[in-house]
Amino acid sequence: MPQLNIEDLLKKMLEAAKGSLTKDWQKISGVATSSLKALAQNLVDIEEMKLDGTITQEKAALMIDMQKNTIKIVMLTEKGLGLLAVEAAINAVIGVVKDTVNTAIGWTLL
Amino acid sequence: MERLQLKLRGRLLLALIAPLILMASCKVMLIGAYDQGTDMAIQKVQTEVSTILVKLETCIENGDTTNVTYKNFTKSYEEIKVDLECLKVRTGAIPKYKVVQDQVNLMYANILNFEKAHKMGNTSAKEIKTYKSTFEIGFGAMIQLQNALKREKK
Repeated sequence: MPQLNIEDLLKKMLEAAKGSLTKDWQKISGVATSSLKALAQNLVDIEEMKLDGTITQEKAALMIDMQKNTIKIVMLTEKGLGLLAVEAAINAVIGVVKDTVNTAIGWTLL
Repeated sequence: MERLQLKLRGRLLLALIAPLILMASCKVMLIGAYDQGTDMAIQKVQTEVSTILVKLETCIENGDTTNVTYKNFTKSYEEIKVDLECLKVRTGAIPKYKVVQDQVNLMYANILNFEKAHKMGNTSAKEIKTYKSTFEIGFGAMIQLQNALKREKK
């Protein structure tokens, strides 16, 4: 009897990500969410294949490990995108400081 | 006294402006610059993996139990592993590229798992579908980050 339900699994995965990221949750892209959904479906399919004897326990373990690694790859992309967003914000602030100082002084100091 | 006050005012002005000069002269980078070599290498590995998957899919559809076996793909896996080894070295050499290097290591682990599973034999259509989905998501995420690293202004 299959134990995994995609809706429950996806809900748990998204709640875990949300709980961990808290205020940064809003920044998780739609691509990451849809990727997690597809990976949840893969886990359900792996369970089905194991139960109907299409794959062995050993193969199932390898395939599940691949899903875990892929979740990490997706989250690393989100981390990279987050760093780029912060970087852009910092450089925007530096740009404003530069413009403000130059305007206040009346000539290009910075 | 007046001279001292002027001197102090000058130093104060310098103390205020110096950090601003320093800030404005530096462009902050929290993650490494875009590297075309890395981007192209990731896409090359993705094509190589897709080639294996498409061949397996075709063999299974045609009921070809001979050509689906691992021994027909040993050279393909070897080429992928060589490309990934080169990618590991390349991403390790680029400053602030740990995120990308970690992704490469995880993808390498996935290729090794895929290879082990293939060696076990009895590959089914449903299994291939799962591998395809897994690799599409993984490579998709990596390429998404590579595109973002171009830092193209919208």
